Amino acid sequence: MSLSDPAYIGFFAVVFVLFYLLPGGTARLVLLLAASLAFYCNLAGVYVWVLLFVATTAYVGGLLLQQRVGKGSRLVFVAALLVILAPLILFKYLGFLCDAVGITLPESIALLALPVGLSFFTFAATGYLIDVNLELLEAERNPLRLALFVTFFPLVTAGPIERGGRLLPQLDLALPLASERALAGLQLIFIGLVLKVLFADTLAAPVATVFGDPESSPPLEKFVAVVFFAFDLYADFAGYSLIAIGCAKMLGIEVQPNFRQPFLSPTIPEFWRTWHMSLSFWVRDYLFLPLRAHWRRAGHKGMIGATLLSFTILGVWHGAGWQFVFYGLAFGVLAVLSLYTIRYRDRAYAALGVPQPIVRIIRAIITFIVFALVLVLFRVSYLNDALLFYRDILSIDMLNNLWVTIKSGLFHYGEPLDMPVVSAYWADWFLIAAIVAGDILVRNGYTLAKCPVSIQAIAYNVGLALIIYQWMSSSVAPPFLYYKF
Amino acid sequence: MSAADEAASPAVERSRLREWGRLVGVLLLILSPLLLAGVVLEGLAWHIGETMPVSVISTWQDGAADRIWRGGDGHSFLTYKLARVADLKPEIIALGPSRANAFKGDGFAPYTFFNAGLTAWTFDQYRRFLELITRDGYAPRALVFNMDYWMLSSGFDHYWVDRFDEKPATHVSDLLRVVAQLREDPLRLWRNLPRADHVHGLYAVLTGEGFRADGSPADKPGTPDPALPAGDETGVGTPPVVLADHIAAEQVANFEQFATLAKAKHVALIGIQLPYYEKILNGLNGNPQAGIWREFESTEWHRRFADSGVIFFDFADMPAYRDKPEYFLDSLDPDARVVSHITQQVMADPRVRALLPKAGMP
Repeated sequence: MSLSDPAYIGFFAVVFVLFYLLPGGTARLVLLLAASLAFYCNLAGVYVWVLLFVATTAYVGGLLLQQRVGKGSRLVFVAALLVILAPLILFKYLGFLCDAVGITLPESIALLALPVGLSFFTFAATGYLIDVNLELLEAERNPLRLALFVTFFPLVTAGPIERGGRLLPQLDLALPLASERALAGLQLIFIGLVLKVLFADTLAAPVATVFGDPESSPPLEKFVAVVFFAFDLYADFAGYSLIAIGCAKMLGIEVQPNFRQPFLSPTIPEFWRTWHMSLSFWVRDYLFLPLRAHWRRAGHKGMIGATLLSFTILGVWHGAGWQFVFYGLAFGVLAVLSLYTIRYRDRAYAALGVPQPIVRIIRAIITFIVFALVLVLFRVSYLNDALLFYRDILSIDMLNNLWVTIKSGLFHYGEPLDMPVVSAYWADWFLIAAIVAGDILVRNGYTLAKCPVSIQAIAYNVGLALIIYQWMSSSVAPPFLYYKF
Repeated sequence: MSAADEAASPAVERSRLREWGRLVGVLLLILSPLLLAGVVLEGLAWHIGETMPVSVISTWQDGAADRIWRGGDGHSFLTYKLARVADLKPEIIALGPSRANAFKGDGFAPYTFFNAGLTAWTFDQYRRFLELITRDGYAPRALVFNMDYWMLSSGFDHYWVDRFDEKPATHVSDLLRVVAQLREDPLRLWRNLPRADHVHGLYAVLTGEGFRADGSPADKPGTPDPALPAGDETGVGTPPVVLADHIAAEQVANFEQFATLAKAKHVALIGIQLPYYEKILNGLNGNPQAGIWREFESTEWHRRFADSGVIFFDFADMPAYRDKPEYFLDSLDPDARVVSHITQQVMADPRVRALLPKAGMP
């Protein structure tokens, strides 16, 4: 049962109604906790123990840190961090680390499946411990509230990675039903479903075809798949995030946004301030800023070191494998390059007399292409596959493919297209255009909520009809891409 | 006033109800076009009978003799035919693949009859069918079934395993077929909608073809194409006309189990190998790879069938029809005239008369 399944919508509807039938406080807390554990059990079965272990560690660790006594507090903090990170290391990184140093793990450990959402709820709980340690947050004394903070069902599988200081105060759960808030939450859920069910799941098909067999795809198909994948991932994860945020909102809980029109970003650092914001801000606050402060005397070298290390860890957060190391490192290098060259690029654009709006468009396109190319590392299973993509996309055959496509598409002559993905999925470009257009409208303040009611009604009816049709047509809904983290 | 008292106060309660009312009201208002479309779609799908449960279809078909049904995915008609058998409790049932389609009730009068053709392809499925219809104590007097040589070839089952589907179709899959039709060719559905008075099921509404109340397929509009048997792609070696050196022991075991169950339920078994068009016969006769065909035709095996309690009739090669394409729907399916002729011969046979003494009486 993922957040885009009709079963989940039914499950949430029941929780929503029961939630507002109960009096605020403990009864609602117990309901949400039970629903969260049931939801996680449904997805991960016995791995619910991992979730409970992390929640318990966060609770006990927080209380111990609160009673800090002199030198012992540092030890408690390090011990709590090690214990809370232990499942993440065991399930996600141990195999990779042992492999890297040539140790063979017993099969019983090597074949352990990754509990869904492990990286997300571990980071949420870790952030809480760090906040308590830094005395930015009082340790939560109510175990139910802390347990709900870690296990809250809309967020447990793929975030947004919430902060204790933001979420815990909202867990009084005393707000009465407000139809305005509920409708606003429903609107977010609707947009999230449109993004996931109509956009992401459609774009996923050509992506799977090319990435599934990269050897047999011509260069242009690889490039198309790379572009499609960037939008597929965006629609998938932003869709998920909106459903999660919408569900929380309906229950009276405000959750931080996770995306803010990232493909309109003019630079890589700006891109990471709008893409998977809850993770990038987590890394910024708990890793980059402390590292930068620590290395402040090293000047530029300290800055560069903190950036590279933070991005590498951000990359490795996504998965254990060299492709994720390079994925993070590549963004680190690009961010550093961007920071140190922006002045010169600005001067160059000014010297050429390029108007600012055009500069923004050019920068957004370049940022997107760079992001999409790095994203190949995120999608492939092996580093060699990524190299295959880069070799083909940067080859002269790519231009040749492009010319053949233009000839047969625009002039209707020349050799027939031997690129099934390019020819079969041409309509998917309209989805991409719709995503970009939607982001431009939202960036300029034209949200669905501000449209006339008649336009909204048409959008809801048509969108829902298409979603229901899609639900009915596919026996199994494709899971969210970020569920594997 | 405490927080609990405040929460329970009439004003708070009124406000809460107002919020619920507003939420539900706004949702209903905004989504009313979609809800209306859903209701219309459900109504349309029900009107054409695509979403009707087979038990309702069966009761509806009992209402008049000319009522025809064919819906579903076109892959399995088992649940529909089981529902009809449960309703009608016929004395004689014809069972088999499409070759059994042409059996009609007239030939078996005065016994009540149901054609369960296009339902079962293998002996294992025959046995299961018999198990299913006899669960509640009912049993037909006789089961007339297709008995072709290929049913005894090794591995024959795997060609048909997914066509014997005991699970009823889901409402969603039924509804999706109607949606797909509306998307692809709504005008065709609109033009044929008047048929829905006496024809149910999407396929039947669109084509006029389907199963009559006695389970036999309604004649196709227009005459069959005489060129079809010669030109169709069915040939020796292609399923179901598979070849083998010998009859397979595991299929014989399946056959024996089926015969044993029939005996236990006191159901007489009448196995018939219907005629093949000459293209098939020529391909089988003298074919060194068709050892199974020769074994099946041998007196030794016919005796074995008899020993198992099956009254077997071999009409595979009927000189009167073998080279006349106008008597075949395709190379394997003789038409109703041929099967009517065969039914007369079967019912006149002394072995059958001993079981069904009223056969042929007015």
